[in-house]
Amino acid sequence: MIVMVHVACSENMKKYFENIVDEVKKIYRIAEECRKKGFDPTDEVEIPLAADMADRVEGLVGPKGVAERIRELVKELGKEPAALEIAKEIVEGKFGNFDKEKKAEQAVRTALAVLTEGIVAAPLEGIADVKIKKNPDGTEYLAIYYAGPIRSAGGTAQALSVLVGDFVRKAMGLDRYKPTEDEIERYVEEVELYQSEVGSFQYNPTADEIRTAIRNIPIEITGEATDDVEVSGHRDLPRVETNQLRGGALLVLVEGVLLKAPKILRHVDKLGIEGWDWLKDLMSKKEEKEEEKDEKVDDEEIDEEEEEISGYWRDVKIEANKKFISEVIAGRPVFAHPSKVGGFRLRYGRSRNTGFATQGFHPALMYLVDEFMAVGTQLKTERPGKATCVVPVDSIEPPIVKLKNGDVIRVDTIEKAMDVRNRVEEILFLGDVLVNYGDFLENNHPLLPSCWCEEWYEKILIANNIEYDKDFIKNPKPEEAVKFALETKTPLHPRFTYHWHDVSKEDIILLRNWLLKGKEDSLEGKKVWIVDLEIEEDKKAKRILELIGCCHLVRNKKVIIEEYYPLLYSLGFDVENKKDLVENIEKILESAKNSMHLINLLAPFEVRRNTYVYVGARMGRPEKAAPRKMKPPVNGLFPIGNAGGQVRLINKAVEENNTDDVDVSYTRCPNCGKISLYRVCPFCGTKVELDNFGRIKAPLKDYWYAALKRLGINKPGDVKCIKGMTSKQKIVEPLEKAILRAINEVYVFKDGTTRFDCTDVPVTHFKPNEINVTVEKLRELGYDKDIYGNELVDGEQVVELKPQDVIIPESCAEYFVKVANFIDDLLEKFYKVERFYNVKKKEDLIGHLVIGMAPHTSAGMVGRIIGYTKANVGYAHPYFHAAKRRNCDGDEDSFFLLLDAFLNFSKKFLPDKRGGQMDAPLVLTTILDPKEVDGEVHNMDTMWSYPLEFYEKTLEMPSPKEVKEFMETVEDRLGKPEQYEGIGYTHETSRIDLGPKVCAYKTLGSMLEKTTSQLSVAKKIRATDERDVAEKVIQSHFIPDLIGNLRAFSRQAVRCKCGAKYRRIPLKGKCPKCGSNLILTVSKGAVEKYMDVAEKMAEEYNVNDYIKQRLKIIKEGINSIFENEKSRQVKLSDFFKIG
Amino acid sequence: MEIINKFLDLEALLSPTVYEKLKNFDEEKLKRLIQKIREFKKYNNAFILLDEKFLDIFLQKDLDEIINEYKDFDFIFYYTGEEEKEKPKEVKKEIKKETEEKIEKEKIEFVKKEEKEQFIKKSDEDVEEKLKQLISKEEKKEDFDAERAKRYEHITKIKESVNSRIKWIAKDIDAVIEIYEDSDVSGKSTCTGTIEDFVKYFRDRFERLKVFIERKAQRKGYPLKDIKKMKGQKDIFVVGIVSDVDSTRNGNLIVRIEDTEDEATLILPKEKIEAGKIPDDILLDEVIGAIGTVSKSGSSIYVDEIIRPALPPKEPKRIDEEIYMAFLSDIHVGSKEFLHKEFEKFIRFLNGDVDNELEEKVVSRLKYICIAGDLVDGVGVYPGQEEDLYEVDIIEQYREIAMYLDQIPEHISIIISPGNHDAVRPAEPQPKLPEKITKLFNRDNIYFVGNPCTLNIHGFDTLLYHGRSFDDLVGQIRAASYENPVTIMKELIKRRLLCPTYGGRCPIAPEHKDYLVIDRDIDILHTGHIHINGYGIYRGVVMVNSGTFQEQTDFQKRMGISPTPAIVPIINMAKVGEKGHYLEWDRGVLEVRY
Repeated sequence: MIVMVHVACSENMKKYFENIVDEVKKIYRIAEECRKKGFDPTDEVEIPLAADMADRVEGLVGPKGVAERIRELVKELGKEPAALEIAKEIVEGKFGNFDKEKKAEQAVRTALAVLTEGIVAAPLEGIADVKIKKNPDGTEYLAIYYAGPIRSAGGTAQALSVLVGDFVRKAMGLDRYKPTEDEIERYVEEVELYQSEVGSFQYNPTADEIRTAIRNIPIEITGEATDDVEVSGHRDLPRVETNQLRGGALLVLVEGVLLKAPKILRHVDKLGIEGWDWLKDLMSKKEEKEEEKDEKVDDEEIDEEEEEISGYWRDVKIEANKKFISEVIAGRPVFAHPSKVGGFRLRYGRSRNTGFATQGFHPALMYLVDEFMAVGTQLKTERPGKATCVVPVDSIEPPIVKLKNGDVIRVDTIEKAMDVRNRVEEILFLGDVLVNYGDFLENNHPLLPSCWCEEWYEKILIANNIEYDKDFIKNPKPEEAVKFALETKTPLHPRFTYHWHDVSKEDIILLRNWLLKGKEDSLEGKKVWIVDLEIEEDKKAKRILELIGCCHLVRNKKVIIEEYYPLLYSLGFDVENKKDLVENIEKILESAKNSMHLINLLAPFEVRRNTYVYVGARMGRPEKAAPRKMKPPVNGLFPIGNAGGQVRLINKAVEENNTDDVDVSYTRCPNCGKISLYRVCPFCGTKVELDNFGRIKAPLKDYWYAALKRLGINKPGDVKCIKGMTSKQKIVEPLEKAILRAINEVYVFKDGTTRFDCTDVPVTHFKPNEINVTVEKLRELGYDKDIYGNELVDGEQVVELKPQDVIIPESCAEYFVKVANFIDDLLEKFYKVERFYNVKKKEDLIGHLVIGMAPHTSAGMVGRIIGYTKANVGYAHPYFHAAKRRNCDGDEDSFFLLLDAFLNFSKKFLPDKRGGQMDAPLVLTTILDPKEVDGEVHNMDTMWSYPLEFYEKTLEMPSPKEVKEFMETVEDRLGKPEQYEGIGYTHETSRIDLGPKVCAYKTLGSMLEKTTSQLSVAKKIRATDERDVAEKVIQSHFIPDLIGNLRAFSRQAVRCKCGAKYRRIPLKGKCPKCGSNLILTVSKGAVEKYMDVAEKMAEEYNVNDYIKQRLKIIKEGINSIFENEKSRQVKLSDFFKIG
Repeated sequence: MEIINKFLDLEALLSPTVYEKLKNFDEEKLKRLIQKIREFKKYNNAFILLDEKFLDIFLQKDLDEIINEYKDFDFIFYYTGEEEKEKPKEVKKEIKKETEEKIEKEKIEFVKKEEKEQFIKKSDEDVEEKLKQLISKEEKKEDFDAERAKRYEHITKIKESVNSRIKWIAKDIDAVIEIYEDSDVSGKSTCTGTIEDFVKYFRDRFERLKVFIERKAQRKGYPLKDIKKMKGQKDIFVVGIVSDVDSTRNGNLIVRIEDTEDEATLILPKEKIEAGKIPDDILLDEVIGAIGTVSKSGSSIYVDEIIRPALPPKEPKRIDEEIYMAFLSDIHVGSKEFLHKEFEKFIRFLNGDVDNELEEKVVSRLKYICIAGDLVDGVGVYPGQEEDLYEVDIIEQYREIAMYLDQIPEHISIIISPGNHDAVRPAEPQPKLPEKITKLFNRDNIYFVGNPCTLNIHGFDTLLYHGRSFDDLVGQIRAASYENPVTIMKELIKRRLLCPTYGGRCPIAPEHKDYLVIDRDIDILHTGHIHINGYGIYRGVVMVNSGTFQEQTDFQKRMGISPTPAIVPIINMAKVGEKGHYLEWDRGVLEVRY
């Protein structure tokens, strides 16, 4: 276990890594000492440490000794070729000679592990088997059996695994797979069936593409049944073991081989692998098809361009992307319909808490949308990607709202938002969404024209050597802005550049005529422009003022405008000299090609187009920060069967003298003769072998009292245990651990660890004050300079985050205090060694190490706590999230304490089923190497500002790759010391956790309340159509739920409180196992739960008749199942008799 | 402007003179007028043109009177100057008075609170746009309505357009139809969704089928709880409902059965299955009898023979009179794939539009038509169905099929049971169509029944079942295939069960009686659902799967299902089983098949 700092970094960083590694080792040793005592399923710490990818691969799949060779090969050849080479060497027997099939299997797994950086579970769980099978002509070929979790490998690695298979096949001298016609058609049928019954693929191949692929792929891509869907033709094929869908295999075929064909070809070419030319033909055919499509698109664009005008004020046609809104979930609001005016304005840049699929929103807006946006709430967005996570950035354009009294104001602070939130009549503009260039690069989304913003403006001033005051850029005065534009001949300041393009030319003239009827005056010491608001015409003009986003107040039937200088100048009126600069307005109106053109003809300076594109978004899932609990939640992995009732309380079982049969590994202690479930007899301390396996009466009472005695505890309270073990050997966890967890109020996960889940959010820089840590403590942790290189002395200085440091949510800190106490109790009372953490309050956790780990992976990442915030998210460096294979678009994953994992994790607890090894720390990375993390983060930009060329270039809507040359991203820093330090950001935010901390979705109670609020938000926002929201909620959420549940009702299974489940109710009517009454799994209540809400909504928002009829039919269907017609008739006739 | 807008919000247009008048109204009067129009709009949601005439009407008459008189008034025709057309319209909206009143009250309060200033929300452009939208919406609706009216008009004239001089022999034959009420769930649903319902349902299935099996075996089955005591005994007979089927490594079939008290395990030895002595297609939840030897431990029975409650073999039923019966299903009116022309052609055929003597003979003697479900395509049957419909209003879909059926000669009796696309509950047994739909059909001799239902039609015990369970059976039984529907239908007759397996695609409503058990020794089994024609005779039962009048849908194309549209089976009731008794009207030509 020699860990050396092998990554390129500064001395300072090196020290940081060394500190972490030392601390890991120290904790490892403590755990080792404890485990040696033999109380646990094994005597060693079961998580191997890995300094790099090669270590992880060896730790995850082996074979022993492979790490060193991987390192050599990667250095020499690069990652992908190394994977193929290592596979060959394994087959050749360099790492031990075993059975041929075993060697092939090992080769495929190891190579796939290299391809996936040794993090995801695919090499373990995604490959069910590798077999050598026979062709009809008697020759042998290789077959890889894929399983569902192969998904976690991603398309490219899936595709390359097939190439690995081919490599292995050749190295073993096997023939190619020769599919029968039936087998080929089976794939065609399955792909089709999968898409109609299970879900869609990222790519929809034609039947011929599939046929060509199967005929030519030299190995058999097959696998386990993943979905309970049977094929109807091509059944019972001798070489295909199942008649159900082979989801894993299909995924590899479609999203792997077919979708990632270019990547395979690149490697085939580079390495000179034979037999893959067919893929080229397939590709070129595909390209032809796509080119045809492209040409068509080009034609259309040219047509449009004919009408276009040059210059910054031209209209740009950007097709709305409606995909994100195809489904709307009840209670989760739509904030802006696709590309609708008034939606989010696209602003380029990155703040210290955005990037890596997380986007910035103005915190004031979060309050105005009734707190449906909180820090960490996921949004589904129109572009550039599918989803993002909400974080606050207060240096971008805030929302503009109209109040009930007619005032239109820019809500630029949280205080203002709180003040006006109940008086808002309409949200005219939602404000900016801050998107970093990297997100466009990652999604390969063409750059969209930039909005006219302060950064761009400033770059122009700099480029033209114009002197300016920094404060003028941020807080311009209206008069000053006009004068500056006139004097320097530059475009008008963005702050006063209104959304002229959203109103018609005629509107502008109407507005102008109205405004010119007003006069200058003063109000509360400020110069203002006052216009009448009396007749209909006035009101129309005022509406135009609202639509262009110009703030104003309404008092005594008068409109009061403070920004009248830029407004009137823009309309061609010289305020200074009270002179109309326009002579023949009619003629100008006629010659103007659009509204922007008109304004530029009127104004004495250039007025840029404020916004080219509005971005739509709706709420995805709410943010999360909660302890991981199993269902039902338990304190320990000690099986008690049904002895403890539904809640599985062992104390209750003991009290009531209950017991039950459980399947376990056990032995009869040779010394005392009692049954021992542990490797050290709990009654006499003798070391034993657990050599029996089977069903025994659980000796609960004995174990309970023995445990209490050992811990020296009398009244432990409720201790929740499990019903039975799901692991293969069914070795139990000592009951003492459960008791101590219960006392400390913490829960356990299936693998023995205690975890806390939270939404992933990136942060690259922080202020000590915002994460509740003192400057002194930070200096101890190695933070001594701020971003400007000044000594760190003040809590408001901005500091760059080190890549493995994490900032946890406050609720997590509270939980971890309990976990730390549990660990200390465990050390002291169970293992009888010294306490380690000695934590009393949240702050004491700072400096301690944790593991960060994502679902579907099998490798953890070491992190260090440096603070906490009130936000319900886990802040960490984007690298850290990428190291766990996560981006930050609303995903969540877990933290757990390092010593907890070392002490309590055991592979022997893991469920013996497909996917059981996922989400378990089978290996742990100690040092974060940005080269070996998810490549998505390499696209994050790292600049302190974007260059002028970038803004200019966006107007042409180029592919993001075209501007890459003047945009620096993480990729440009890889392998250099700068990869860890000096990363920049473009927009400041005053606090990384401003805004609501809990999404309203979580605080509102019933579905009715949620949907009511959802619709009231929709009503308020100009960019949202509430009727459409209502229709979509009913159609995409309520109706499928109602129909689904109604169907589920009439074919449901029943269950018993003893845990037994029956496909159909037994004729006996009672549980055959225990004789109790049975319970329905789908109740009437579950079927009807959305009926009332849906009906109310349909009525109130007058949704279309089709939806209304559907609801009516469903309702009648429900009534028909739940109402007894016979008794109804009887009642009626009875009534008549009485009458 | 404000006034115009207020009315525009109500979807009402003002004529210039009315606008001038309204300007002089005081606020109270205006409010009352608006309120009245708003109330009225709940009964007639059309775009209203408020001219002097209607202004007077709204000002002078009281609300109920206006509603009564004008709820079906067509403002658009009035507005566009065309003649008022008679259009059937139902009162759609139920008024939720309380909530409406509340909302109204809140609105008024809101106005009071904000009375300082009132602004219009929309600019002129918005107003115009809204107007445009509304008008274009109305226009579209108008186009749509006009198209529909045209379609209806055409349908109502099908009959007239046939110039026939046929001697209608069937006219002089009295229809004889008797519904076996005990076979039809309509009006008798007892299900309330409790667990007891499920117990009763399966016990009824077991008890009733057990009687058939015991009758066939000519002995009583042993209660399963007694089996354990009969260690090693031979020739033991038991009856049970199948709860689990599994096969062992050496090829034996293990079947778990249960009765109302206990369970038992049957072992079906591989050799006997291979020798064809016992079947291998045991389905979950069917009821079977078994004769065999109890194992030495008493834990299971080695089976020698399986006894199913199959219908007894018999000669097909025939009657003396030569009359004909036709079978329809899956017409799918409303679907864009519905074959209007072909269906019309068939109706014309029924009206005597014939090409040869055979056709004339058959048509003149055709007395009965059975329709086994899916008259219309329905709404919301599957996600995204809206896109596949030319008529999204389900009432109109039924109105249309009713019009078609109305064109069938009066002396032909029609029996209709529902299917999974119809507007009744999806769970089987399905009750007959509700009254609000049946009242759209103007014929006297239409019999609406549930699905399934058995009727005696001119001496033939005829079972109508839509066939939803076929989707499950095809996957379960090797011998059964969509291409040949009788292979599936045979399996139903063998088991005396229309839907053997619970929990599959076919949803089941737990009634106290299992209507899916075939009680009678029927003469005809008529099904549909899979859109593929099929015909055969098994154990003396005529099995007809009527095809469809819907062209292949995209879904079917993707699933590789080739329907056989516009083929109508017809049987000669006097010659069943003999040569020439089965005919098909095949897209306009009548041909003898068997």
